[in-house]
Amino acid sequence: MNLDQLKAKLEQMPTPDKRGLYSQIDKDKVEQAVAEIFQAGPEAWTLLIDQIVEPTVGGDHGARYALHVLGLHISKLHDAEARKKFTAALARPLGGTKPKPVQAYLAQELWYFGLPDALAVLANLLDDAELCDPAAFAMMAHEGQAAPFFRQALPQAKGKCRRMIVQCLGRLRDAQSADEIAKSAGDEDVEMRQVAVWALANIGQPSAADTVLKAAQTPEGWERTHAAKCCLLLAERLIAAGRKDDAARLTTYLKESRTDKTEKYIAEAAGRIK
Amino acid sequence: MSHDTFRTTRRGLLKTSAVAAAFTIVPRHVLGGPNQPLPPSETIGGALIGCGGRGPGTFGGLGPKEVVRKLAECDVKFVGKADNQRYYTDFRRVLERKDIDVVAIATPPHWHALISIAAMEAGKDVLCEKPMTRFIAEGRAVVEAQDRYKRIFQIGTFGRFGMAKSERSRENHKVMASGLLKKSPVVHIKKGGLKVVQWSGIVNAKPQPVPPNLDWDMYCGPSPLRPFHPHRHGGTHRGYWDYEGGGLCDMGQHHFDPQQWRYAKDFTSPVEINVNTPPAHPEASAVWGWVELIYADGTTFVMDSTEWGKPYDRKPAHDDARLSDLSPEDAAKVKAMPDPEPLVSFPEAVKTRKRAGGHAESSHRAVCILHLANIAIRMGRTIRYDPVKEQIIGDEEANRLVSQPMRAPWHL
Repeated sequence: MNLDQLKAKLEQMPTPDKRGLYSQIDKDKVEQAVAEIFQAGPEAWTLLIDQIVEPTVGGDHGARYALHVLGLHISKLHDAEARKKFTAALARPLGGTKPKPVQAYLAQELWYFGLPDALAVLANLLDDAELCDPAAFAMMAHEGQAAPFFRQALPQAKGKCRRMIVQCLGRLRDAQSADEIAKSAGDEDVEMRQVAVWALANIGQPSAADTVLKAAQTPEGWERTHAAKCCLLLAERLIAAGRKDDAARLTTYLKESRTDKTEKYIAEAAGRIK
Repeated sequence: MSHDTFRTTRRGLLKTSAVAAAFTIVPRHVLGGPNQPLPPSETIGGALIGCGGRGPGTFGGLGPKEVVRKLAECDVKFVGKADNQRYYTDFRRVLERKDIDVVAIATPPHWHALISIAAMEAGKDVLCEKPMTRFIAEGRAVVEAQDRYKRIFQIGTFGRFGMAKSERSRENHKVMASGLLKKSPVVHIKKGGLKVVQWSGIVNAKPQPVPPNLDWDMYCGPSPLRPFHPHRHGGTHRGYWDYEGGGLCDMGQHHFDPQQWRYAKDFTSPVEINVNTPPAHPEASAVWGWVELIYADGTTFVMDSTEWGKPYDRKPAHDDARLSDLSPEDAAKVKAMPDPEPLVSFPEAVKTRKRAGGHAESSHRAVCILHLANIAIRMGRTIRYDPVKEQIIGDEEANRLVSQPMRAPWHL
């Protein structure tokens, strides 16, 4: 499929109404055109990707939509080889010369449709402040396989990228990252500290107790409330792991320290964890 | 259905003070003469987070203004106005205040779950505008926070309160709750009224400068940080998956929450969702035809948009489940069942610590109807759902929409 042929297919995509909405969509026309793009194979898919431009340039709504519908088309086929090729087509431009908003769009499509094959390429974007969020989103679609990639990126990561990586590792409950995450629990950035403490609590190792308890000693403000939640979360994790004594250390602390009438509900919540 | 009794904390004063009567009978300033405000000890502090179109109405649901004093207003558009005393841009600063007891949340829905959870972590009771959440996993996290902290949560739609007063609806509820029907005859069809095109998103928006009074990063919050466009902010946020789920999500909880109560589905979800739709856009909601959601007992809810494609014609509507649908023996058993307990309003729940009528679990299940419909629309195919595990069965890509990642530092 050459560029002219592809553009003819893109003509079949809906035309936004005067407000810019897809208020009329001819399903048959769209699906037929996309099926033909699919049949033309990965070179045509790459050609389609090349039609996507920065939002400030615009005029590419049809290509963006067609690429997404192509992903939907492939996902309905249950064709592992096609999906692998589609993942590769989306991942290939990442880290290259395409404008970052375009790469963000491709990462978004990988979140929708990608296979774990793209994890390594996505992980290379984790140190880029513009792309670490969409890359991490796409990586989190593969919860069972993403942790080693996040773990490898963590020591070098800074600022918002580090926050995002720590948060993902916390959600993945990656115990192997706990020591590196703990380094951020005393960060000067309050949001970094909070994400790190939450991640350690969610991972749920007994060794996190000291860090979480230290955070809970924050005298006032949202950070104190957040740390109390982390104490409760870690206690629940430890109970689930059969570490009742370790959990009791946390709940006892909350029961003894949240005695003011405005915090009694936290002590009561701690009392319900058994 | 029974009410959980929550343990009374700082609001215990409401149980014994005259203000308790003020909630349900008549404000004391009326009894005491004109212009006689209640003393501060007999009021509670309220905050409004999200001060746009629905804000004032949602705040009003917290209780009579004589009782609930508005102490704080928070909105990301208050840059330059925020003084961190009355006006705020960061809800966390509001939640730090110990004089605030109840919070009304009227932000766009991508913030609903996170702020509801944070408020309950801070010991506040919550009235949250509908739709309750942006995706399914958020709702479960809100339920867990409600249960962990024993706070009151009420969703900002109240149709079920009227539904529960209808004798016929109560009969429907009891018949369905009994589990004695072999196969549910109910086919409830919502035809039109879901504002599908009205709340669609722009697909060719060009970035524009962020207004100086708006904290755009905070507005985007857990969702992807997109280039600013005014259509993504204000009421038209509804048209973007980043923030809501189109008119379906915006209007659907109003409509299906009462039906969910009527047919005793507050603790479960549909198991099969069929759809007639053109391919969805990845970022903007657009047109779709109809969605059919089937529960394990056969109860069927249908959304027929009437704005695209052929109308729904798979099953005729049948909005009833009566004693006459049962055998005489089973009908007698249902008649012997007690009526469902009256639903408790938010102010009454704050006062008594009983679970609110639109509590987190029922609200979560109601918004799941909408989320499941939208997932089927977005995937363009039938999906099957496990209401216990809260996972889509055998469709890994569809499951990505059940639990979505968030930008740090925002997490469930």
